[in-house]
Amino acid sequence: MDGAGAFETEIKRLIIDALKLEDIQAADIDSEAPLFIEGLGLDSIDALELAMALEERFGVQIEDDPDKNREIFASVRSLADFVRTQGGAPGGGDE
Amino acid sequence: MTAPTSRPSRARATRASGRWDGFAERGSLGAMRLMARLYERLGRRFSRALLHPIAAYFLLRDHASRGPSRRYLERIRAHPEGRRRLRGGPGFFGSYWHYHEFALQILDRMVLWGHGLSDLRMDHQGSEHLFALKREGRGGILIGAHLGSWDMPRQLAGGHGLTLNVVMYTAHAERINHFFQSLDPTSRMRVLSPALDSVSTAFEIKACLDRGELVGIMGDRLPAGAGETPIVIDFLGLPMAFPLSPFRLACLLGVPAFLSLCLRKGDAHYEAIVRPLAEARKVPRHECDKAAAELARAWVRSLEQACLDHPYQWFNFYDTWERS
Repeated sequence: MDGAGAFETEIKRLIIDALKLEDIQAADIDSEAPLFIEGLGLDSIDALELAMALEERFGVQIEDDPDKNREIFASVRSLADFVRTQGGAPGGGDE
Repeated sequence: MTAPTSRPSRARATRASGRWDGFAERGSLGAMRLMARLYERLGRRFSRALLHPIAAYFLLRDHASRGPSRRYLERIRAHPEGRRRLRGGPGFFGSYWHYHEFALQILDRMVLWGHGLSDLRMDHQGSEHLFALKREGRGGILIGAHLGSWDMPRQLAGGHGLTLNVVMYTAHAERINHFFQSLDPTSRMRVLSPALDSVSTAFEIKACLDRGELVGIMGDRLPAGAGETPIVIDFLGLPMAFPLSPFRLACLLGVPAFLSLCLRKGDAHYEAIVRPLAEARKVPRHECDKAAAELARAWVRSLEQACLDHPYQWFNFYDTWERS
């Protein structure tokens, strides 16, 4: 697995852990599939909960900008890209 | 019923849109305009007398809301405490006072927005909690219900320098809200009307709370079409689905949550009630759903008691239990 793929897996694990998606494995989540509303069917409080987990883990801040948030939370890939460009260090020791 | 602490199934309540567009919002706008004029010209006594034919008209005409009203009043009647407060017998005409109460509170809402509090008496219970929050610069979540006139505290919030953001899915409330805005353009209340499919809703609410403002959310209806995680709690003896979101937000952000109602106590006499649900404490994220479920149950118990004390002020004219 390349670096980007490993980081996406890490984000998936964080999503599963933060949102307690007990019946889902990291491998079940498509990196490009929609996560919220459709897709996994997560709601906006799940998004907020996830943002708080991302902030704790990577120190990244997500504000209340609807357009930007739609981009950030579009998929695991867009989330991983956002964390990476905000300076969140990939590879938290899980790999 | 137990709460889904881990939400493994992510069940969604199925909601047929349009069921809310019954009595409550179809008839009220035209009725309010007419009543506003009559009240101005002929005064309160005459306007109040007119409510009887109006209530009778809706009782006879509105098939969709009659059944739900009767079934709700049956639940009240099954409870000794509620039964004492009912004025009519069971069956068709039992709903008359339910319709009458609704028409009366529409009249009073209109009076409030047109004349302010000069024609009404407004008592307070627990508003000191909100003033304390304001002094500390902290936000709070007011969780209301379609019991009594929830519009009333909007103006109070403005009058005391409190900023209230009301989360409103305007597909249902837009016309009524527009009408009120035209009556009182200076109202300091803000309507947060998030798109149902927006991931940002919770972020917007958090931003308001971070600024030390109040956020008002209705806790007795699942927004139609929203990806809402419901929690099923016994209400008046039957399981009913409630939105868990307002309570999850309070726990996640560690902000205090309150039951907030404005109930009619007599003619032109209301009481705004703000009741704390629990001490505000930031719950570790993994315990949040469990804490939110506890908060939701405390809110439902409080609401149920208020329903038993004021049974005719329940203004959900659709089958609230059906969707559980």
